Amino acid sequence: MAEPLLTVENLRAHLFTRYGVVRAVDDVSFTVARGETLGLVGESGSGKTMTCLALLRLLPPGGRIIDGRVRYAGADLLTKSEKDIRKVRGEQIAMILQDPMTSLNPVLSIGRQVEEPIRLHQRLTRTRARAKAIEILTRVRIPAAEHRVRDYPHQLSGGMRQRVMGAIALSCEPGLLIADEPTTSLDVTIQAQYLTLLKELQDEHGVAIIFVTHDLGIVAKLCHRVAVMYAGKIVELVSVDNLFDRPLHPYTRALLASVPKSDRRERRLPTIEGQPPTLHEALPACPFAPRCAHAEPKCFERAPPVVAMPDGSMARCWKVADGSLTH
Amino acid sequence: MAASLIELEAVRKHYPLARGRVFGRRRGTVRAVDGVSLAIAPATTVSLVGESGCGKSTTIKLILGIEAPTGGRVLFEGADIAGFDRAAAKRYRASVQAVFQDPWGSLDPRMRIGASIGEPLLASGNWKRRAARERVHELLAQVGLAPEHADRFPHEFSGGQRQRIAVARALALNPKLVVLDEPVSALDVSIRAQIINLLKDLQERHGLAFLLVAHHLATVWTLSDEVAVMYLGQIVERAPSEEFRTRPLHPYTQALMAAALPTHPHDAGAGTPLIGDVPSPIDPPTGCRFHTRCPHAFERCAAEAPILHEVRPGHVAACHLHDTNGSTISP
Repeated sequence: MAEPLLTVENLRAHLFTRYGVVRAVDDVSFTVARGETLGLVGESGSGKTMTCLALLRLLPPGGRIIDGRVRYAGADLLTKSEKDIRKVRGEQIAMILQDPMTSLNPVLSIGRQVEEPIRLHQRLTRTRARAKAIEILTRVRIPAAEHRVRDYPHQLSGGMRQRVMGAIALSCEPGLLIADEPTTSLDVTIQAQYLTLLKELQDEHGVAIIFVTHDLGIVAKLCHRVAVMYAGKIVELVSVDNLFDRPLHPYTRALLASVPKSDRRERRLPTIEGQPPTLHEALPACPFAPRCAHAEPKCFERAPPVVAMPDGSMARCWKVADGSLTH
Repeated sequence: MAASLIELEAVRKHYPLARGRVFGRRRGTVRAVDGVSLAIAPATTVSLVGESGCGKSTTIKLILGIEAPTGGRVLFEGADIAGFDRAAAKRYRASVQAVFQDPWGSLDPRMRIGASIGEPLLASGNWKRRAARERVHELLAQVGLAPEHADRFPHEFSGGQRQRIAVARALALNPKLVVLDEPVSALDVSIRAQIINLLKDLQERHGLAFLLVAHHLATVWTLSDEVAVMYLGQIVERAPSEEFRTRPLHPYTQALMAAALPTHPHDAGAGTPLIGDVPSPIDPPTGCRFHTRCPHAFERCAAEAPILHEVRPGHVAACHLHDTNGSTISP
């Protein structure tokens, strides 16, 4: 089998804060193949965004990669010089952030902002970069792009702004796109348009996507495989069908059960008691154990093993290892 | 039919656009809410669904008395709230409370939460300090928190706990209606179910009526008795929850439901998404306001506004596709 486009092995990143060390990314391993969409799912503070930032070496001040390897298209991203990693960012791996209002520059026309990475990475002249920007804006379904390039962000609707963000990210035709909850601020109808567009662009250009989200509906719609994160660790890594039909980890199971189903009006929803752990808390060996309905004493004391299933699924849980959880 | 707790009668809220330099002398009007009629019976939940800019938030403001309607009436237990004297207005404000989306923005970071919850009690003038403190402890217990939490500050709580605090404060004065504006959408997935269950329990225990605004349709079905869909300031369809979910009539409702995310990968890609954005409420389209985005639009839709009428028992819709006599002319 061909080498995956992206391989992340035992990645650890810590945040050194005033209140102590936060293990934001804790022994994370996964791969992304060309043209594949990997969902990175978890609640706030579970380390989804930090994992993505660590890949591009864009951790916030106080954040440091402690250990691990990140290989993209055969090259090691963690040992590259600062100059070389800048070439990777935007050109080979692009990122779309959550809020299009704060990530677009309000005083530059959208044309300028789409041109910027093209001119930077491909060294095109202004005129040619402008032509390319119009072409890309058309591709993300901005109507009358040749006029719209002169518009400023405030003149566009939320959905259009997010498509402009997509255009900037895709401007250099990257092999991997990291999308960090790009649709949370959008209406459902606009979200549906945007997700459909992402899917079409992926089919046309074969770009691989890491989609960070906490919404299992988006996962169902878009992703091929899913990594479920909890307290900085990947607790389960499975195909999307297995996630919904045969979830392994107790956290994943509880999460799926707690989502209201649109086809029934339940009296009470099953819940996961307690709260997700805060960043500075001391955690037991399995971080989910305090909220887990199946936890045993050993879950608190010894780190759960990584269980690989024959169908390629992976989970980090004592009870899955025992085979004592049934469907 | 039971008497309504709150009733909106053809309520309008138009905001005049100020004469600006850019627009010269021309003035426009934002038709934020344009003839909305809605009734909420005691101890039931009615949901408002629609895209941003459809007038949901303005409708809420009209019910909470934050804004006064420019047309139509808001009736509380049969009486027009515009005609309330000071005492009646005060009773009304106690009877209608709200919980908002953002549990970070709705609590004063420098106030202990006991003081935040107790503030409406003391402001009402009917409570002594000691009694108010006991009431706060009772409210905390009702929302699943402990009395000792009263002395803590908002930053010591997680999002889900903060939303519980906001609920406790809304309940302080024994309201009859609680407006829930996206109560769970800012919360983590594993916490949402806890809050939804809490709301259901409190509704049952206190006989509360809820007006829910939410975009997550599964949450809407889970909580609602009746659902109304708004588009550009108007209600285009209204029906009991189950009827609504299984037999949506209006093309806009159908599009909204098609845009909802699947609960399983096998259902993915089922619906065709709606094209384009919501038109501006300053100059809404002629005829049916949805005709510019409607896949079924025909000539009549651009010319003539459809009237909301009962298509099936208890199920009203405003759409020419569902006109029974075909002779309705808009006023």
